[in-house]
Formats: sequence, C-alpha cells, structure tokens
Amino acid sequence: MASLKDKAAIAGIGATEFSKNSGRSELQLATESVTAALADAGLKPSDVDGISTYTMDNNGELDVFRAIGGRDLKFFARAHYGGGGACAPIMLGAMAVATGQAKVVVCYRAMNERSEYRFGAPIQMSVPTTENALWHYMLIHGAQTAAAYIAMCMRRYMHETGTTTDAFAEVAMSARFHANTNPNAFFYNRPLTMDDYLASRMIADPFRKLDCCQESDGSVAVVIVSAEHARNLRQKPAMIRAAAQGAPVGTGNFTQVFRGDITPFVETNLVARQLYETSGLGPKDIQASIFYDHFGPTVLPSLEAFGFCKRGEAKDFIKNGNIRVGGAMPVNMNGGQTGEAYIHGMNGIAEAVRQIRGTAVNQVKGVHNIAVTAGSCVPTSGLILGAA
Amino acid sequence: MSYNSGASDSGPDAHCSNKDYNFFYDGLSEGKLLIQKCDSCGELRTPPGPMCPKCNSLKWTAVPAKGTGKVYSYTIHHYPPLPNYETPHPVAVVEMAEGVRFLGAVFDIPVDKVAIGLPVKAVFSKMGKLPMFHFVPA
Repeated sequence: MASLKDKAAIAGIGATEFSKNSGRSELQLATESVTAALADAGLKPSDVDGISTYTMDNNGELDVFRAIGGRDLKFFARAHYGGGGACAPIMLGAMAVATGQAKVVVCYRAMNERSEYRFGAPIQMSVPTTENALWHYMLIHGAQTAAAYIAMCMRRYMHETGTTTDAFAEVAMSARFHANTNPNAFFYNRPLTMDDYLASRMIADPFRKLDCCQESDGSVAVVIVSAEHARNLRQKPAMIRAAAQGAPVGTGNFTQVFRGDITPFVETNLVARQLYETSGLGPKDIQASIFYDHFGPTVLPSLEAFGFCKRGEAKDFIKNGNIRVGGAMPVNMNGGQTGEAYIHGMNGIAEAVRQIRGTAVNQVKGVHNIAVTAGSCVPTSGLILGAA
Repeated sequence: MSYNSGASDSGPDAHCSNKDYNFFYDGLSEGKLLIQKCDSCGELRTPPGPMCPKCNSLKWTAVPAKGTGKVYSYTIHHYPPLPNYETPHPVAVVEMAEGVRFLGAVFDIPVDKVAIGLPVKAVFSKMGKLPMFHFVPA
C-alpha cells in the first residue's frame, strides 16, 4: 500500500512569544515564526517553494511569502475547518515534498486571537452559503460558541461512560502541572488545585473556564522537507510517520449533533485508525501524545480513540498521574492549549518535534513515536511523528 | 417572509436561508416543524438538503413533525452574553418521535432540571420579526 510513511520530516520549528497582546500585526508574527523555523533548520527564505496553513488564519500565504523575501512559490494550499485542520498543513506539506511538487514547505499559524478576534465570541452568519445556512439553522437557538457545541458532545459522552467532572479536573490539573515548569507557558509557575478548578466560572455547562483553552496572541511555524533532505540539515529530523484527515459523514462545523454518535471519539478515531494503518504502528508503539485541547475534557475520548485505553475507560486511565510526564501516556507536556497558549494546535506540533529531538522542558524519556491530534467535534486531522 | 437568497447580509429581518432551507422557515411561520421525507425511499432527514443521502432522489415532501421528543444532550450556556437570549440559556439536541434530531432552546423549566431523556415538545415563537421555535417540557 502506498503511504507517506517516513517520506518527509519536520526539519525546523519557530515561534514568537505567547501573550495576551502581541502589540504587532499578525503578518509580523507570521514572518517572525517562519524565519525562526527556517533558521532553526539551517535554511533561508529563498529556499522556500511551498507554504501551507489552515482556515481562520488572517494571513494570506502569498502575503507571508512576499514578506519573508520568497522567490518562486510552487505549492500553496490551505486546509479547512480551523483548529480541526491543525495537522492538515503538515500532511499537505509532506505530500508535496514526497511527490516532488515542492522541496521546502513552511506551515504557519499566526494570530492576535486574544487582542483582536476572540474565537469565543458568539458566531453570527450573513451570506447564505451552504455552510452559513447550516450554521444559522443551529445558531439561532443560542448555541453560538464552540464551547456550547462541544459541551453538548461531552455531556453525552459523560452520560454514556459515567465520566464525571472529577476527570475533567484531573485533565486540567495535569496540563497545568506541565505548564508550571514551561517558561513559555502563560501559566508558568502557577499551580492549579481542585479548589481553584471548582471555583472557576461556568462557561457552557459542563465546561468551566478552566476546561477551556486560553485566548492567545502568537505564532508558530514548522518547516517540512523530504526525509533525505532532512538528514543533511542542522536538526535531528522529526519524521512524519503518518498524517491523516478525518470527517465521518455528518461531521462539519459541529453538525454531528444531528448524527447518531455525537461524542468527540468519532472523528479522532477515524484519524487514529488511518495513522496506525499507514504507519504500521499501534498504541503500544507510541510513547507520548499531543491531544488538541480546545476544551481539555476532549483529551478523554482522544485517549480512547487512539486505543490507549478502552472506550469509556479514560476516566480511570488518567488516574495516578498517568497523563503526566512519568505516567503511562504523558499528554501535552508543554501544558497544552489550556496551560501553554492557544496557537490553534500549531504549538502542540512544535512540542511534539521537541519531544522527538529530546529537547523539551518536560521531556518524556525515550520518545520514538508521538501522536498529535487537531480539534475534535469538527473535521479533524492528526499525525504520528517519530525519530529517524 | 423575506429570506436572504442573494449575496447581501441577512440582518435581523431575515433568516440566513437559501433555496434548500426556505421551506423550513416558511413552515415555522405557519406553526409547523417540517421534516423532509424522500418521495422515493421514505427516508426522513434534518438538517435540510436537496438530495436524499440514502437513495439520491431529488424529490421530497415536507411533512410536519408531531413536535414531541426527548433531550438527547444539552448544555447550559452561561458566558459570554448572547445577542438574542438571556443567560443562563439551555440548549438541547432533541431526538424527535420520528427519529430525526432538532436543536432548540428549552424554556419553561428551571435550568438545573434540564436532563438527558427529558420529554419535550416544540412550540412556535418569534425572535424579533423572525418565525422561531423552541422546546418546553412535554
């Protein structure tokens, strides 16, 4: 079977600081992280011939390319569905270099999400495209935030599995446990207790504020080249073992509420099955995970979707520090998007690369393969990165 | 009733609708919660769409729902404030007697009494000038 396995690698990562008000344009953030990622790889802007991002980035691919001093762009593609698309530009970049369409692809996310846009604000629609008409049909009832929809999906998950908000609290405290020792994290050195969690205001029941990702300004970029090219560059390559998108029928902009199974397991499981099938790997081959935490509790069905525990058993699996460094399946060692920053998943991909290189602040010992996901409850994507 | 069927903003005086959705909002203005039924295979479907996903027939009839169902899942929206509703605001995914689902606000019940399995029924209302529906305990 044809597959992308080990044909491409992430050879460079770069980032700005993460903040609540960057004080500069989103395009400037993009140029800073992209050139930092190229320098990390030992490449120049003039080497770039491919560029990819995902929707909800306000920076056009060609604007970034022009700003950094690119020359001839031969591959440019944008994956849909916001945070669900977080791993998809990596897949597109890997496909491009594996097929010779491009040699050096940069992927970026750059946003002043806290100071200028705020994804948590109520969504409203105007022009009746297919997507907007369906959005409106749902939004008019007052479910107008991502939190509200994913809360409904997780409420059903709780009903079906017997999971309680005690498990939500453990996910939140584990993320903050990692953030405590990450100087780049907003919640660096700020421990979270159960009392703090329970005092956190309700956003969309059952989600409290501390279940929700942060709102952040910042940018992260990565550089993708062929496996052969990566071996001759400056950094230890993070091989792209597998990359996949997944949208079971009914999945859309939270439209799965109309479908049979609405739990966040469904999309993530389609991605996990593809990642395992195309890489020849299984759950026992993975040493750590980056699970997209737009809402921390979705880490629970993600553990099940990747087969690290049985369906419905994540609430028990996470006990005894099992998703912290040193546990059975460490998750979001950078503190995740609740603890580090919300850079729409791209900061998690950078953390996965550091774990493969062995340079993370909360380094898991002996990481040979790491799983990475994008947003659940929307059409999603995922990766397995590995050591060469 | 006016719909935004062109490329202009719908604003507060029209649903953001198009040729696939107009029947639904027309139904609300007549006090009917309409479900598309395939003329060929009889499959019921929500949300609206031009083709039967089961048999690919383009022919369908809008049939009124009985209006009763049970809460399949729900949330209570607390924050941020909503443009058209007071908070806390309960919203539910309701599985109708016919087997299809609708999303809708749940009123006339204390928010802490909303629960999975709660029997509800649809009632018709207005949101500003727009025809609307929501659910109340059955």
